[in-house]
Amino acid sequence: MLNRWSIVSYIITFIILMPIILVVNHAMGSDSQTLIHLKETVLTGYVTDTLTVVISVAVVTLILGVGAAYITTFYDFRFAGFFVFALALPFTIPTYIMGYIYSDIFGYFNHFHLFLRSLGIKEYFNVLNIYSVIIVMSLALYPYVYLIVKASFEKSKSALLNPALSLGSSHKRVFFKIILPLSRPAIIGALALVMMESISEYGVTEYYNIKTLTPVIFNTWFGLHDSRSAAYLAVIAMVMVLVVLSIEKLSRGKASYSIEESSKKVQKERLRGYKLYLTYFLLSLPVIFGFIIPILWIGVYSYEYAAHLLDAKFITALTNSFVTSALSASVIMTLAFFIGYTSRIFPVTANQTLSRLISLGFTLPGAVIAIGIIMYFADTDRWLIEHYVTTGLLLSGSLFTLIFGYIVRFTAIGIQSVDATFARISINLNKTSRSLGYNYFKTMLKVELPLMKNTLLFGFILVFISTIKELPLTLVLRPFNYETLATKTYTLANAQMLQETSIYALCIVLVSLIPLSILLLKRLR
Amino acid sequence: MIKIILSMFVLLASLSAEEVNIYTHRHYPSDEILFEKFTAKTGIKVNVVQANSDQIMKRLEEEGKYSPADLLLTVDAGRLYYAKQKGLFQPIHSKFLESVIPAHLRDKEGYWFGVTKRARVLVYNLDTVDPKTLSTYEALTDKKYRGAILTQTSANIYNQSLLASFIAHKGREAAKAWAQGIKDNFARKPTGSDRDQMRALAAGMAKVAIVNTYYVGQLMHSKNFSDKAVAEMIGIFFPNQDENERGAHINVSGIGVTKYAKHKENAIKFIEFLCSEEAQKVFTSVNYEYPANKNVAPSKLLQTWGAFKEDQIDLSLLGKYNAEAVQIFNEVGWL
Repeated sequence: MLNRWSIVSYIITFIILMPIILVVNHAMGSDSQTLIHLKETVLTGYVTDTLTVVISVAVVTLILGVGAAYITTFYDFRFAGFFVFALALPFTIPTYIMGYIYSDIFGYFNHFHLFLRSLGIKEYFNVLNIYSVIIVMSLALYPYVYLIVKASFEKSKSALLNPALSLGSSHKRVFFKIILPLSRPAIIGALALVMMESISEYGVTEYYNIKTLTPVIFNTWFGLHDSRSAAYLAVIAMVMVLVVLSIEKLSRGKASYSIEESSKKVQKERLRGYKLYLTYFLLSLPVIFGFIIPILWIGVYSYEYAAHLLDAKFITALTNSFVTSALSASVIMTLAFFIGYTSRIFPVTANQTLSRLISLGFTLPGAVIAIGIIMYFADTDRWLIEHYVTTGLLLSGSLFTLIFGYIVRFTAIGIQSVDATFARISINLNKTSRSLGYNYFKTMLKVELPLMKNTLLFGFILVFISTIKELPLTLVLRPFNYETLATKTYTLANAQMLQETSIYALCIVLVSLIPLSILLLKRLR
Repeated sequence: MIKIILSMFVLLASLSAEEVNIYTHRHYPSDEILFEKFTAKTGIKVNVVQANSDQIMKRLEEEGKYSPADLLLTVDAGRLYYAKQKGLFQPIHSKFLESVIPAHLRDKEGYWFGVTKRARVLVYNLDTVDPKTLSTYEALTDKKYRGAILTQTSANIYNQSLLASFIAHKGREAAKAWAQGIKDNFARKPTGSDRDQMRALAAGMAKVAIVNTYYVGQLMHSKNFSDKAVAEMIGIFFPNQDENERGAHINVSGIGVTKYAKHKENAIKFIEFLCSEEAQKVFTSVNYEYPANKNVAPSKLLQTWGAFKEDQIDLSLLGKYNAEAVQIFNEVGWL
């Protein structure tokens, strides 16, 4: 459908997709020799590991995330408020830091094994294996599911639980028959994010030597020096995710997930006895392993270096992180809202495909996207120079490039959260508004925007925290002398300067905690 | 109008004080110290982007003749060779550099210069191994080392270069047989860093590990009590030292002036500074690397490890055979 809304939406998508298109284009004409070599030697193993990791992480995060969201939404117990907050905290710890911390704790000469020695146990346990990777990634990623699904549960529970309960249904029945199916867009959206991120994860998989597709892409690109075949493999990974997402959207079909919100308070079921203790136990596990242990590790190591918090270098890194993340998150949420709204008011296939395509940036390893972006801006700069607009590189190596990189990578998060909520708001609202004289634009601003305010804030915070933690794009796209908290953490971790590293890691956690607290206080309580 | 503003912007940037722009892979504290020293000494500001080598080289390549980078500093001779092949460097001449950097540690035509040297050596568990029983890299493929060898994955560039040196010396078949033999003797599937290999070694998981020398120094001087303990439990052995042997495998960190450098003179000054006695002492004492400058002695710690015969292979060959080495690793399943 060609109208102004769709056209603008297409243009935005095209611009964001351009680096990915360049990667795909680069994959054309890849050397079949290399691919044959990979197929004969390592590819099968890599595909098996990829599937094992992605599927396991999806299952574990699903259980952790939906379970935690369910219990904290529908049951009442002492310290419930604490758990609502605490369960989101592992999100503030970058995956690679978490992997690093656990390999340190379980190192052959560290706390865990020393403790075993003190008990007289002489065995050594090697934790650098695929199971640890699955656990570490699940702990770091389940908050996506928890936060997004909980938001969805909160929306439906008051509207549905009261009438259903008054008709005599049990909590459990209402949950499984009504609320869970209604939250499907949210659950799938969150799972898609988890799966995409676990495919493109590099730090932990490299350190633990787990062969997912991302390392094979690196092996091919930088080891065999065949960038085209590497791009080809990256495209395969992308297509796999695209297929999964499409199947989900197709099977959703024309089903409607919208409901009217109700402000009535719901009577939560109160937990008692063994159920209460079991709940405490289960909810504590992800909090302890996903946050408390890592933050203690960080805290202990950074203790001596607390004074560095006032260094000029530190303040600069902090400011840089904060400004770029906030800026990127604002732009991303604006774009996501616009694209989501367009595909809502003009629900044709083309528009709906866009929101899936634009999420592709999340499936590619950061380093591969980075290269797409480098090519993109180098081409643009050359064009500008050849047309006498500039005399040197304007965009390449500028802050603009870096922020654009974040947009390409993280728009997926914005789109998933916006889509999930739009699916829950009846389109009739929009139609009514227009029949009363508002045009699309005015409806967007006056009717839909206020309804989406919380979702946009929510998405903003998810993107903000993801951006603060982001590493591979930041490293290679940044301007001269540009340090963020993540680059500082990485550099120092690489040099094994644990104390100095942890003070920056601690700061990533603290900076992420601020918006997360705002979110949880405002929205989830 | 826009055009004028933009070109003024570019002009302004180029008019600012003396500077030199570096893309670097190295992320060591020694380098930060040296950047500051250089500025203090010459008044030339050092601007840095630190990122993973392969990616930052791609950035340099794509930026082409407009790239602001004057220098590319990276680790591993294979990458330096590759950068030269890709046309990222330009040759320079410096009497000082040619006189202090031995020929095998720099490009013959002056495209790049090694600034520090590291050896990839054997470390052994002091409790279970008598160093007299150790001899060469090749000997590690013997059956008596079954389940006793530790090293990193083949994604590690230093392992790639080590295998490339085998290809260069002995041909593809012999290199493949060696890789297969080492793989068959693995104590575990390769994981973790060089330091992790030494930790596992000290824990008694294996007899011998293949690691770079400066990591041993880092463990010894670690603030972490357990890493210090690890360092005390292992010994260093330089392999292939016999008269008819080629010597221990060495590699370099190296630097070259980019093809389109805008501050070529400053760039050369910077390289000369990195190779000066003052800077070389920082490399060897802070980062435990061997000086590339032949007139500078290694730090005291490195001297305690003893002098050794180094493999004098043309380091460019490490780059030439890099892809082939990766193929061999894939074929034998050293992953």
